[in-house]
Order: sequence, then structure tokens, then C-alpha cells
Amino acid sequence: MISKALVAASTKPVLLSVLSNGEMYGYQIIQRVIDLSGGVLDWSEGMLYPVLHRLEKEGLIRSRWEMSEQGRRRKYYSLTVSGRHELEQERAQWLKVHSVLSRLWTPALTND
Amino acid sequence: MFDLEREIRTWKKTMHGNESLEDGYVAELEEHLRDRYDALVEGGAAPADAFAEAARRIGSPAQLGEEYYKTDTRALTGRPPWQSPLFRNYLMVALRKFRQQKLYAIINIAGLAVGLACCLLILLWVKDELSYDRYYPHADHIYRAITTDHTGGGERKFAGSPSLLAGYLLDNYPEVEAVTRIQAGWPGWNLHLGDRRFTEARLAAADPSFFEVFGHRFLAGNREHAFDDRYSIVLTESLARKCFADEDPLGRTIKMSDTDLTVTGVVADVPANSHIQFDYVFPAVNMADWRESDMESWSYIQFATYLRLKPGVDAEAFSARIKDLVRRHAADSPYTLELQALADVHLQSTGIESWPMEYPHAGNMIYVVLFNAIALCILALACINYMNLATARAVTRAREVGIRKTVGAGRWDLVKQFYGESFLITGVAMLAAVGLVLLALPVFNRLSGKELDILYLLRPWNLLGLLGLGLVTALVSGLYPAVLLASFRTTTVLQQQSPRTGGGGKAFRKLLVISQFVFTSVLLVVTLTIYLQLRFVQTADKGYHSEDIIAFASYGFLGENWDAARQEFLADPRVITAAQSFPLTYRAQGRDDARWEGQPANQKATLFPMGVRWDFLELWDIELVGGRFFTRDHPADIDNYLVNESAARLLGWQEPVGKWLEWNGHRGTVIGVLKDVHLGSFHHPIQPVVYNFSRRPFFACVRVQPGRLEGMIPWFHQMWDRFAPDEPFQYSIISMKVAEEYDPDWKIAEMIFYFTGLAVLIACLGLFGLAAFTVERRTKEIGIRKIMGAGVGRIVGMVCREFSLWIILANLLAIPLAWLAAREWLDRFAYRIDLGWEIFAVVLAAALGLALLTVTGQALRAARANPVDALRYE
Repeated sequence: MISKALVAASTKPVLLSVLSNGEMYGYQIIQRVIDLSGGVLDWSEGMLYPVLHRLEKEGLIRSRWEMSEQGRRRKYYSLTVSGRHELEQERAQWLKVHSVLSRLWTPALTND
Repeated sequence: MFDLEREIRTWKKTMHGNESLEDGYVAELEEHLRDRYDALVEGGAAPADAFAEAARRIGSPAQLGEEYYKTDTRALTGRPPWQSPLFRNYLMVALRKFRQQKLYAIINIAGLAVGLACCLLILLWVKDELSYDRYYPHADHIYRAITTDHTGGGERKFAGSPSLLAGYLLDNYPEVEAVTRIQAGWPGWNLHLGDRRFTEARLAAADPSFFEVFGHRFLAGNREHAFDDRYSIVLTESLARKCFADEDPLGRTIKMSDTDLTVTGVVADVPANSHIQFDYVFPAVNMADWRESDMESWSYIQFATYLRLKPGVDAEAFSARIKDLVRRHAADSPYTLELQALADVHLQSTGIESWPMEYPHAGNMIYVVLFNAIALCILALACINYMNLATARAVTRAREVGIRKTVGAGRWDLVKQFYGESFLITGVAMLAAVGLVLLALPVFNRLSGKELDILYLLRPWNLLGLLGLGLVTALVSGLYPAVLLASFRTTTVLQQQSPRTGGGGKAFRKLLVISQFVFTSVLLVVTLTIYLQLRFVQTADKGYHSEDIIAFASYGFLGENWDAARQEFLADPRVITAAQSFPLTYRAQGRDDARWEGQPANQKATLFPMGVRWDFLELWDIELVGGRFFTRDHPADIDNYLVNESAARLLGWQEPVGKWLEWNGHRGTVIGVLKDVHLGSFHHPIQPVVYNFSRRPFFACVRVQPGRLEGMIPWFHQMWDRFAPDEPFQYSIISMKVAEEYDPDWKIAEMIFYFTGLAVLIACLGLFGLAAFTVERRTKEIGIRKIMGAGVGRIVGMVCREFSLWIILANLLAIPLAWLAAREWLDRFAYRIDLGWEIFAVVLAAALGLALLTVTGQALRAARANPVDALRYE
């Protein structure tokens, strides 16, 4: 399992990345994350929806209600332009952290 | 049997129970719940279990609500925690109120701005007054010796001290580090360099230790050895530049009258806030030759003595030790000594006659106190205005307060809101005040004779002070309105009743208006007293004729020259008389070594000399009370004396004529008595004078027909050039000299007049606002009264009566305070007007008149209005 703090920190980049592939509604997002992580990132709904709400307030994503064929209401979320910029920045930062950690954990081959 | 829809309805109900979960959120969560349920059932779970699992995953309403609340509030404001969430709303409401009630806002801001501006100007002035003489490096250890003359049981203080004192102190008291004697302020000296003359330059004659005592900064030359040679001179930077431009002044020669002096040093210019002002200094020892100064006497007190004590010496104890020093050397001397700290000289020298060290703009502690009081009063007036108008308007804000309270505002929220308004107004007023100070500073500098700089306000500490002043103003003026408004009861104000500000609120407002008029009445009484006293001293009979007389330093008019010149003067029909005479406006220092017929043992008396010659009486129109004056018919009289009435009284003579008097070592007979005249200003009592026949007249005076003097100046110039071709034409007009005596008083008076005017203006502004408000509140009442038959006069009278009563009460309260303040100021004059009831009556009338003028306009407007409009009002 991944620690609570890391889950919280990664929520935003994960959400933005998932939405970068197109419009989705809440249930879909959670399912997608669980699938992708093989169950390691087990998000709770109680966390997801408020975060979506906050990102919308920050102008990174937008939402719209739509009726599905089965007569169910769905709230779809998609990225805004500033959401895309934000994702780029997040990506760069996470890659940096990743590369530092990978180099640290790779046996020292380059030192001689 | 499991019913999904019923379970979901129950679930939704619990969700809605949390106030943070809005409908939209719950709807979205419900869809999620259904999706999860479907998936679980599809996976083979029992419906009841599937629902329980799905609901568990979404979480409890409390958890969800908290999460949503967190994201909601953080996204909404991003404000610091001390800022009220309603800040924008408060600001908008305040601005809207300003717009709606422009008049009140302007009165408030204008009043506060003028008050703050006055305050700032006065503080600048006070700060400058307090800074005098603190610039010298050893200022804390420098003292001036003050002589008290106890002649005839009286007490007169002089800034001069016996000429032997300085040397004696240095030789016999190890506490004394350095000591110097100074004379300055002599008229008629003449510094020249080739053909160029520097008649405006101010001299100081001082001992060589002068620079050591004060530590003047030498820009050229050597401080220790500047006066090694007695024919040396030290110039200030600006005089050196004037004389020698960019050349090196050291070693150059300057002529003082007929003596060559070598420039041995250049010192930095003396700052304006020093009481010792000079442009050049030469060794005092020369004064013995040039002006017969007595350098070695316990009786001659024309030098001022300044001493520097060693650090740690108790000045007070030292002062007590030297008190009777003079008597130890000259038995029966009427003089005692004391020390005055250098920093006190400027402000604490009232009653000390400072002839040897004349300097302009002598200050006075009482003015510093008075001005501080005025600043405080004016600011208080402005604050009171604000409180008054804000609380009076409170009723119009009552409904707002009621609604705010209903929707949950606490008392503290309201206090914060209304305090905010007072900070806003004070802030705007402060900015306006700084602008006003910028505009007014040139005028104020001209008035006060100072060179104050606005940049001074911008120094960090002063800026902090400025902020503090604004803060205090806002706190004081906002306190009462904020507390009052916040205390309104919701139910009362919303039921359309006027809020029970209660008798208390109204009484408080009355109290404020009354205290405003107490301040202004005190200021008015003081102003009027000052004006009347200054008019009195300038128009009062001085006992001699001071108009139409011109005086010259008599370089060219000496000896035989004078006889010829006098003949020519008298030949002109415009001239009434011409005489060699000291101008009566110059005061000489007294001596205590006279001896006289009937002198009791152990008694000495300080008498003041006045050198006179023929025609003196005619020139000045002084009354001869007994005996005769010096006349050409009695040439032997020139060894004799006349005295004035004060001298006769002091010497204990009933019949002075025929008594002998020894003066300056010469015994003569008193041949006549002159009436007492005011030789100096009315600040000082009339001195006992000995009139002796002057053998070395320095001055000549000419009296002409009334009104002709101005036009005759060119003619006098021609005459001067004929008799004294080498000397620059210099003259003084006696009436102007007399008026100059009171220049410092007028300067202060003028400032007080203006500040009083502003204070009155502020008070009237407040009254105007209050009257406008009162009338507005009574619109309906006035309308009904008119319909019932009340005339315009009656209604105006009704409105004015209340205000008049306040003003009268205020004036009654002001009387004792005003009397004390005016008395304190008048005490500075030996001759003064009576503080009669008339002054108070006039001030009462003026205050009443002003107040009624302010109120009547508003009352008339209401009284003239159509009652129908009034009744439809609201």
C-alpha cells in the first residue's frame, strides 16, 4: 500500500493525467485509477469528489452534466487550458524526482 | 425484501443533513453509489451487501462535509485570518454611505484633515523650538552665568555677568573645564576689506577660549591658536566666501573700524537654531580699547559668561556654590549668580534681560506649551466633530445594524465595521493633511520666521509618529460611534422606532459640542487678549515722542562737523530739531557702583546710564518734572546729572534737585528730574536712569514734521555723503525700532490668530453638520408646526434656542480656563491691560454670533420649505 501523504500528493497529477485522455465522470475516473495501479492506489470516493470540486474552482478542469442512454445523470470532467499547463509542470517535477531517485538507487556505474 | 430506491432515499436524507453538502454534490455522489452498486451486484454480491459496501466506500456525511468545506472555503477567500470575510462588503457600504451623504463625509474629512495639518505644523514648530543649541558637541555641559540684581529689594535678571567672573572661575574651581566671555549685538560696527563694507555682518567679541567651550567646527585654521594674537578675526564660512570668494582667507587682513585684523580661521556657519549668532568673532580684549569695555570689574556686567563643566559635575550644586561669589569680592554688591543650562537659554529666558547677547526670535517655553495645547485642542475638536456626526447619523444606520445583527453579526463584528470606517476616513484625512502641510509650509515659515522642511516628516521615526498620530485619531474618534452603533437593539430598530440611543447618547453629544466651544472660547479669549495687549503696548504713551525721528551713527557728525550739519538740518523748514543723542530704543547695561547723597550703609543700586546732549528734551518731548535740563546757557552743568522718577525713588530722594551723585567716578549735582519713560519694551519695568552729558556721542537724531520722514531719506543720504563720505549711509527710523521690539510677540500672535481661526472653523463645521442633521430629523415636526401656524421666525428661534444655550454654557465653563491662560501670557509684560469682563463678553457674543450664523442657515431652509414636502418626507 502507498502512504496517505504520498496518495494525497499524487492526487492532482494523477487526476489531471487521467483527464488528459478525454472527458470522464467520477466513477470512471476511480475505476481507471484502480485498474492502472493494479489496486495499489485505492482511492476513496470521499476524497475524490471534493478534490475534483477544488480543481474546478482553481480553473484546471471544467464539468458538465449529461443524461446517459439509460436515463442516468452523469457529471463529466475535462481539462482546461490552464489545466494542461499545470499538468506539464507537474509532469516535469515528478520526472525530476523520479530521475533523482532512480539514479540514487541504481548501482554506481558511472563513478569510475 | 431489499428496496434499493427506499435505501437511497434514506441515504440521501442523511447526506442532506450535513450543511456543507449541497444538492449538486449529493446528486453526483448518488450516481456514483448506483454505479458501484450495479458493479457489485454484477460481481455476484447480494443486493443488501452491495449497497452497504457502496455506501461505506463513499463515506459518512460528516467526513464528506468536512472535505467539501475545506476545499470550498480555501478556494473562496485566500484571505489572511484577521481580515473579516465581509471586508469588501464593509468597504462598499462605507463608500456608498459617503456618496449618499456627501456633506457629512466632506465635513468629517475636511475637519480631520485641517485638524491633523495644524497638528503637524505645530509639531514641526515645537520640535524646532526644542532643538535650540543642542548642536554644540558639549551642549549638555555648557552653562551661562545669570546675574540677579537685588537693588532696592527688587530682582532683575541679566544675561551678562561681571567681567572678572570668567577668569576667577577657571582659576579657582577645578570643576570648570573651560570658560569664555562674549559680547554681541552691538550696533554700528564696520567691517571693511578695501572699499567693500560688510555692515550687515553680525559680530561677536569673545575670549580665545570661545571655540574651546562651544567646539565650533573649524574649516580652516587652528582652533587652539586662532586668537593667539589679539588682532585676529575668525569668519564664518558664508562671510569668508562673501569676502574672499574662492581664495584662501587665512592670513588675509580685514579692517575693523581703523584696526587691521588678520583672518586666522574659518568656522562652519552657525545653524539658525542657536542663540549665539555671529558672522565673525574677534578677541574681546579689543573691546576695552574700542568701546571702553571694562575687562576687570565685578561691577561691569556687559559680558555674558559661558562655562563648560567637567562631565559628572552637579551643575545645581555648583550653581549654589557660586551664588554669592560676587559679594565675596565686592562687598555690598547687589549681584548674585546662578547657572542656566545652554539648552534652556532659548526657551527659559523670560525675564532675563539679554542685552549683551541680543538675538532674534527669543523663544519661550510657555509658547511651546501653548502651541502643544492648541494642537491637541484642534485635533480634539476634529475628533469630536467626527464622533458627533457619526453618532448623530447613527439613527440612519440603525436599520442596517438591525439587519446585520439578525443575520448573525456579533457586537464585535459591528464594532470592527464602524471602526474600519473611522480608519478609512482618518486615512483619507491624513493624506489630505500632508498635502495641506505641503501647501501651507511656505506661508507658515514666513509667519514663524523658521525654515521648516516637510522632508523632516519623512524620517523613519517621524513617519512612525505620523502613523501613530493617525492611529490615535482614528481610535479616539471611532470609539464612541462604534460602541454606540453596535449596541443598538435589533428588535427596536427593526420596528421602525428610532433606536434608544437614550438620553445618554444625546447628552453625550451635547457634552461634545459644549466642550468644543469651551476650547474655541478659550482660544478666542487668549487671541483677543494678545491682540489687545499688543495694540496697547504699541499705542500706549511711552512718555516720549517716537514718530518722525531718524537716527544715524554719527561718524561724520562729530565735533565741529556736527555744528555745521546741525545748522544745515535746522535751516530746512521740514526739520523740527536735531540733536546728538543715543536713540532711546537702545538700552545700555547698568552699573552698580554709583554713590549718592543719603546712601545708607551697605546699600548699592544699579542705575542705567543715558548719554544725552543739548536739545535732547526737545527732540524726544520728554517732560521735565523738576529742576532744569542741560542747556547751552549753563555750560557748567555738563558735569552734573539728571535722574528719572524711578531713580529718584530708588535712591530715596523726595527732593532730588541739588543732591550730589557720584557716577562712573565723577561726582556731580542733580540738576533736574525727568518723567519716567519706557525706554525698552513693555515687557520690562521702567529702569532707574541717570542722564549724563555725553562727551563722546555716537549717534545723532533728527526729528522732522509729521509724515515727511519717508520722503526725506534721499536728502539725508546727500547730507551724509557730504559729512561722512567714507562711511556707508546707515540709518534707523525710531518708530520702526519701537515696533520691532514686539516682532517676536506679533509673530507668535499671528500664528495663534490663524490657528484659532482654524479651530473656530472646525468647530463651526461640526456645528453646521449637527444643525443640518437636527433640522433634517425634525422635518416632520417643523412641517406640522408650520401647518398649525408657526411662522418662519418662530421655527428659526426654536432651532437656535437650543444651540444658543449650549454656547452660553460653554462660555461660562471657558471663563476660568481662559482667564488663567490669558493671565499667564500677560504676565510676560511689566505693563499690561486689565483682563476685564468685556473681553469675555465680546468672545461670548462672537461665539454666539458665529454659532447662530452657522445654525440659522439650516433652520431657515427648513422653516421656508413647503410643509407638504416635509410631511411627505420619508
